[in-house]
Amino acid sequence: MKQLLLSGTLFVLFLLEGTVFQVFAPEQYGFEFQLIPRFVTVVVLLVGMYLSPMFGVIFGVIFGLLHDLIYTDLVGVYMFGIAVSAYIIGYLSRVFQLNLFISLVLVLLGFSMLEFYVYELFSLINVTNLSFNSFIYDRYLPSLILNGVFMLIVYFPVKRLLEELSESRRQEN
Amino acid sequence: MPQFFSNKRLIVLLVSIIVLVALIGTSMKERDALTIPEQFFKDSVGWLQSVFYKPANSVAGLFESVEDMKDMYEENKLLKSRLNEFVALSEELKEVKKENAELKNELNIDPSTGISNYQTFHANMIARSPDRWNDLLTIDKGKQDGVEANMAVTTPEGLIGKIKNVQPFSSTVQLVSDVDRTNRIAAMTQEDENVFGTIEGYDTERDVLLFAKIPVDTKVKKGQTVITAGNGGIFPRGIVIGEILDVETDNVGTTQTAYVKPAADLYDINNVMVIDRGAQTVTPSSEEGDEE
Repeated sequence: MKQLLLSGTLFVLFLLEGTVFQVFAPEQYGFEFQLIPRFVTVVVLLVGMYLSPMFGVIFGVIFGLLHDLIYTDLVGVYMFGIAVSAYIIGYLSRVFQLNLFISLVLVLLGFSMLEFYVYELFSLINVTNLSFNSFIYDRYLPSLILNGVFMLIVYFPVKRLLEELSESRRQEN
Repeated sequence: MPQFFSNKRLIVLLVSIIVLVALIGTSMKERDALTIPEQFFKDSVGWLQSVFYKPANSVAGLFESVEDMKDMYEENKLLKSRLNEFVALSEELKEVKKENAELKNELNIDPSTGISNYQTFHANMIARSPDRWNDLLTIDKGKQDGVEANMAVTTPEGLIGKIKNVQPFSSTVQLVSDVDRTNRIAAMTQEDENVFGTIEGYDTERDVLLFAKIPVDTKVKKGQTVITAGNGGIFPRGIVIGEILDVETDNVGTTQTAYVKPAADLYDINNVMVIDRGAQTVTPSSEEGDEE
């Protein structure tokens, strides 16, 4: 039941990224910078941290693949990216005592890994010709702030859900 | 972290990198159509997306219309003053069209096979790629409604892109701003003489289209309007693309490149029109044969 709730939340976030958020995207109002919503990635990273890295990888593969199929032409880019960053962040999180601040830093680290990986890959295969400078200032930094704020908003409800989930998994074992 | 680099996981990582490269390689190839599972996913998610997009869009539209109301009076005055001009122009257009039809008739050209002849159907945007790397839109009309790959897509202001993939009930539009080596459009300007070239890419930093391959001996000026040329076979002639901002001669000195500001706002898109040039481009000879 709880698992279904988690998957459902992720799917709704996935839909919001491409629909509702695009209605309010800053480019429409003449701003130079881009805000890239990576809400699904943020929650998947939290799953990797609070549930287990393996769960992070599974959700990362599923929602990354969905993102690839629906929003891009290249299959595999986000599937690999989200899964790997969820795995790395999941393992890194075991070193630390998790609290709000550490979680925020780790989520932003995972987000940065994904963003740089996608940028480098897409530059390599000529999907984009954006220069590194404008990538950093017009895209990466504003998006970092957006996703950081999003993480702060969803942190407590998602954390509670994930802790309940890992509790019930422990009882089953 | 001894576990982190254990042999088994390293092998899994390497295998998944190989799979990634293979997947990207296969999906980068020119594909005529998507596979059935891809179409199924896109269609079913597309339906859900429209459930989310439409209410959000109408809420945003409400705010916009409140904003618009402020300028309404001024705008109305201006429009009224332009109205007379419009009447005169439309009379002239009617005259010219009639004359054109007569002349075509004299030359025995079937009016329906013209290069600038087309019909449109309307569609709503239901989603947009959230990562700006791929500038793709999803619209709510698909194969069932007669949409086919490579058709031109416009807003009332001008061209925004072309149909990239078609599913039964939705389709994907590739915007002109998408950086892709296959995203090329035959274009022209028609000020004094027809000047042809191709729209070859998009400068993400300056937000302009590159109108390249213009012969160096032709004069292209700032402020001219660029339209589709229609000799690619799929797009009709005469859809407005944008306005020339700047012209440069290439390094080699054999061609010129103009920077074109798109006429349509590529971000504020709601309703789009899909332009169907019809089947006449596919079988022009057989149609001519049927004429008598």
